[in-house]
Amino acid sequence: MRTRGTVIVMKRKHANWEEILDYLESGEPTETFVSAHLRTCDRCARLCAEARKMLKLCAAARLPQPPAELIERATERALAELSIEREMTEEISPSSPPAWARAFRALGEGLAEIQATMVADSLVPSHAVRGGAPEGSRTMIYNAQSYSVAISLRPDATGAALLVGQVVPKTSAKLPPGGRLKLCVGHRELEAVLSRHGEFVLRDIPAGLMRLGIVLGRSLIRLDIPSPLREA
Amino acid sequence: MDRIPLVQGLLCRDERAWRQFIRDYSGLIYAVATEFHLKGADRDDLFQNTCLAAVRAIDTLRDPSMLSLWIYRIARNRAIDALRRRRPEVSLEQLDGAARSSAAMQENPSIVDELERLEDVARLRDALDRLDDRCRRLVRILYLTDPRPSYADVACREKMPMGSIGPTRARCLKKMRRLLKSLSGG
Ligand SMILES: [Zn+2]
Repeated sequence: MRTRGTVIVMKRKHANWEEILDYLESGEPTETFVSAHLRTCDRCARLCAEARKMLKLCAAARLPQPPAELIERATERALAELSIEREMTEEISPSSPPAWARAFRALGEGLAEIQATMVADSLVPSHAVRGGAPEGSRTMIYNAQSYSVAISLRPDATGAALLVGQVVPKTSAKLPPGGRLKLCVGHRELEAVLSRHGEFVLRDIPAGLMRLGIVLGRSLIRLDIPSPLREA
Repeated sequence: MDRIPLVQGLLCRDERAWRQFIRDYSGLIYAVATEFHLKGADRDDLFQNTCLAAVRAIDTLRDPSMLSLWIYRIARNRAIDALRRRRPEVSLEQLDGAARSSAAMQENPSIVDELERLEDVARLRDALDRLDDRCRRLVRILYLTDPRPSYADVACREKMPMGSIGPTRARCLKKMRRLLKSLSGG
């Protein structure tokens, strides 16, 4: 009987999770059952280490908040980006096309329209366009069927933006000669021609969503370019 | 709160959801900037750029219950980019956690430790979001509030018998321990 009793007592002698938490949180330096037991029992010592780690992690999770004014500024910029995204996905009404759609139509009759899709953006972490970008600039790469278009945007000294780009054929084919383009930002329209190598530069671009139309042969490549370079 | 409705709001580009997201996760984003020793305008830039990058990358969020880890990683990558711009001679691999013993990190070994700690914090926050409401509230009050309230305060505020707070918190932390293990893939 005595042996059986001893066995029962021994089985109860492991510390449970709650006792270990109480022990860790009590901060009492006095000797207790748990503190004595932990020195002799690996199983409970491991449990205690785990509990200690978790309490430490909880303490580390009390992160200080940034200044409210910074949160507000970041929120406003994020919301501005959201509205640009919404604008980019909006439908074009055929009855009253927006100014940029009319501007693109004026580029030529019967052009086959290709909507380019952005495949890389230095603002979003990506290995494709990482590195080499000067401070405040943004690099984007677009796919337009048999062409790739690289766009680099950076603020100029006056606070407007400078856009440098290049159209590159994906195959060894040559670029059709006489390439030209039109950029619409709000009600502004800017024009440029492509170099022999497909390069182009546009200066003094105001803030806002940019729509770029590039005429190459009988095709019109359309790009929507977000521009969060600076406060709107 | 449950993260699923929040993530749905983020995916639908709902302004209110984005406001709440930035508010709720601002501490974590800011902590990344602090751990990278960014100061002043650099730190503010990282904060704002991370929020912008989150808007643009929201469609890449695969698991709504890992929102903390997702935003933590965006902030960390932005911080690495910011450091590289300042010191272009340092390669990405040197700054990434993969190469712990690299020269760049030896210069600042605390960054790796602190980032690991922050990644664990992000995981803890994700685990916390998976707890039931009652546990989440109790763990928040007891462990994420500074200064920590007494059991008597908690009993009053939460209308709980004082004697049940200790056992309940133990049960909740046990659940969280399991969740943390599953989030760490172990
Ligand atoms: Zn034991």
